[in-house]
Amino acid sequence: MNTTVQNLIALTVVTAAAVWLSRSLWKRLWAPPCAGIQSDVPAGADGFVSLDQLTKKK
Amino acid sequence: MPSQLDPPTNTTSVDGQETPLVVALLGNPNTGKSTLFTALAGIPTRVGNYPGVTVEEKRGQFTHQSSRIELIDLPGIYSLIPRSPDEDVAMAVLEGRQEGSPKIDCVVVLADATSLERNCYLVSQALALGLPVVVALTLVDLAADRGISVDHATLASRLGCPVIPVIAPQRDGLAPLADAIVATTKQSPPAAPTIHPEQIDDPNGHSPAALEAMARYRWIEQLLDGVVKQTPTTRWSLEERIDAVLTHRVAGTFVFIAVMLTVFSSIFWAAAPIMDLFSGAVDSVAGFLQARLPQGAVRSLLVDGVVAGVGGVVVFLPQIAMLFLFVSILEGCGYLARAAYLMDRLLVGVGLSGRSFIPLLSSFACAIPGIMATRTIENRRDRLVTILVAPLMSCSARLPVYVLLTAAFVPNTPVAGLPWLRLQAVVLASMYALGVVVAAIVAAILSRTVFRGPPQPFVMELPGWRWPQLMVVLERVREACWSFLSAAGTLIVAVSIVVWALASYPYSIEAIDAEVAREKVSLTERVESLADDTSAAAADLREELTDQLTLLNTEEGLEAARRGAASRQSFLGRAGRLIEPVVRPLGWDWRIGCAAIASFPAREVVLGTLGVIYNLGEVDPGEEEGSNMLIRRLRAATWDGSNRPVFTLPVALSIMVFFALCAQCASTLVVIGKETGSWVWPLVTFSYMTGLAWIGALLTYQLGTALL
Repeated sequence: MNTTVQNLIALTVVTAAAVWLSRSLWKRLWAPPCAGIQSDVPAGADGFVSLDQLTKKK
Repeated sequence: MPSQLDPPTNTTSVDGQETPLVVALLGNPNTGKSTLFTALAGIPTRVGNYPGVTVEEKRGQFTHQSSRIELIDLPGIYSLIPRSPDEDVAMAVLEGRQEGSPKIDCVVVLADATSLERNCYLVSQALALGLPVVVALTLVDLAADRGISVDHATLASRLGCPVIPVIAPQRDGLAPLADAIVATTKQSPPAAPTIHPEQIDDPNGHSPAALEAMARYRWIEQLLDGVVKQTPTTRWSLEERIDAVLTHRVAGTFVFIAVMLTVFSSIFWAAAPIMDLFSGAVDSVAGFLQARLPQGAVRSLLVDGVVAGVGGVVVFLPQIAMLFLFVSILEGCGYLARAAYLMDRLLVGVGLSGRSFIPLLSSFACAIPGIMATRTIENRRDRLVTILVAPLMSCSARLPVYVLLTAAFVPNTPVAGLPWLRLQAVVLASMYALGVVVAAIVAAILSRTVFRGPPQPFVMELPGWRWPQLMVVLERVREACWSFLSAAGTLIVAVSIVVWALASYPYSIEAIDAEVAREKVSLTERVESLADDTSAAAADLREELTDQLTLLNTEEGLEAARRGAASRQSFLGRAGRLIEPVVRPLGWDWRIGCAAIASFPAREVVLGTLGVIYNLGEVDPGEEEGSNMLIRRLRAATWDGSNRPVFTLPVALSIMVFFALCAQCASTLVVIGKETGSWVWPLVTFSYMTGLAWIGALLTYQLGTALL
């Protein structure tokens, strides 16, 4: 393989990697890989209420 | 001879009854649910409640009074309002929506006699299902040890359903429980409790769900009035004695520090042999490609780009696995909950809510689930402060940076004469502590200025001590390793290739040789200019410059100079020198600056980037055994036009501090924007963390250089 062919192969791989990387980073922004379970249930619905609420005079 | 509670010997009907009674076991985590399941159905099952592990329903069968009973073990949950997969599965089974699950004939709710008030929350919800309910009062022996007595007959009459005390490990109360199950299925379901959230006096404007929770606790308070009696007891169980030490403000803190230091020490020595194997494999792959491929861009792309980038990262897999192994064991046995209790005091002390602990603890793995977990914080002030400081917790993506620089530049000497305690472990633990301390300071400042207000107290449960489950521990380690390898196999490969291109092009051999020639001329002129100066400093400088000149005249020195010149003339080199004035005060050269900039979208790419940049710019000395390729290159790296090493202990510490404090994760910033509903907060987070990181790195380098 001469230098020109090698450079062409390398630049093709680099272009593909750059396109893939841009897409991946963009997707990663809006759907992070380590995001937990999403829930719209309001706070307090799990049965835990803060201590001051429990001890507040009724 | 079969007893009343024997598992069936076959699946045929008993007394002509074709369909078995289907009974669901429902209860909070750690109430002895799985133990009761095993005692009744006689088949082994796992104990405990881990997200994603006990989500599966588990079934068993037994016969009683000629009735065949099918038992379904539901995941341990606190509430029937689903907010996690565990709770979702439990609710779906109870409502008959779960695919493949039969209709439920009776619900056995386990209530821990040692904390009946909290357990009755789930009981109150189960009573509203419209199904026959039996309450199994568990841990009554432990409650008796603690001086707690429960009038179960009064409780049963108030609830309108049977309440049976059970000691499952000793099989006490199993027959009465089975009697009650069979009898209850022939009766109509109990009446649902009358809960009136609208009667709650709510000057603070809580959500309807929170008001309902408060109304349920008010109902529970009336339900248990006179039912639970506590007499003072002086007898302490072994568990209570251990907890007394581990949750003690001083003793517990010392134990916590000792445990963490031991874990970090172990990460180095236990993972070292496997890391050496990985390093050897990476070197072999690089050597193989070097030998087989002709010289040129393709070989350089593979060896200097892909292998150097990915290889520099994957060698840290054993240490990642080791850290998660230890953390999973500590979590599985219940120790982390004790550590949480200690941290709760710190959080309240800096003006945060105790509710902030779980989000902050989650952030040690990744800040994103941690920030999302702040949804459980009712108070907006506490929630915002927690979100702003969560990214300061050292996530798992920072670990390889800490480990690489610590292993390469921190001496592995014993500390305070303790052979098991090494300086490397202390430095690694300090990086984690730095994030916590800075977060505490930031939270304290914010909660006393911008977000002023009283802290919200919080109730938390300490689970009992237990042996960690091997399968759970191994699953956590597997998940962590897979996540690390996935990033290495995708993101880091792509970044390595792109960085290789930026650091390799444009490439002109004429321009490179011209720069090397200019360097030679410059060195010669500087040596000649110092010839007449007789001072000691001039003599030292002359000697160093002469050494450089001599090296430049050797084949190896010329190769190194050419690599350096090519690197400086590349796109990355030109951009790097533009940012050099910003990073120079931190002790960094332009190459470290480039790696740090490249890590802003996702910090896990930094080692790959460093691997590529220094592989292209330096010659591998290759003589050090037991160190990986990247460590060798970093140790060999010198400042442009000098023999002065780039990486010294102060520089390594400065980089670690920068990575500990900097907001190098675009995903985290986007999640902050989504969770707060404003782009102001991501901007605030990015600005204050980047500013703190730069100042922290500057102070570390300048103080380190002055003191070391």
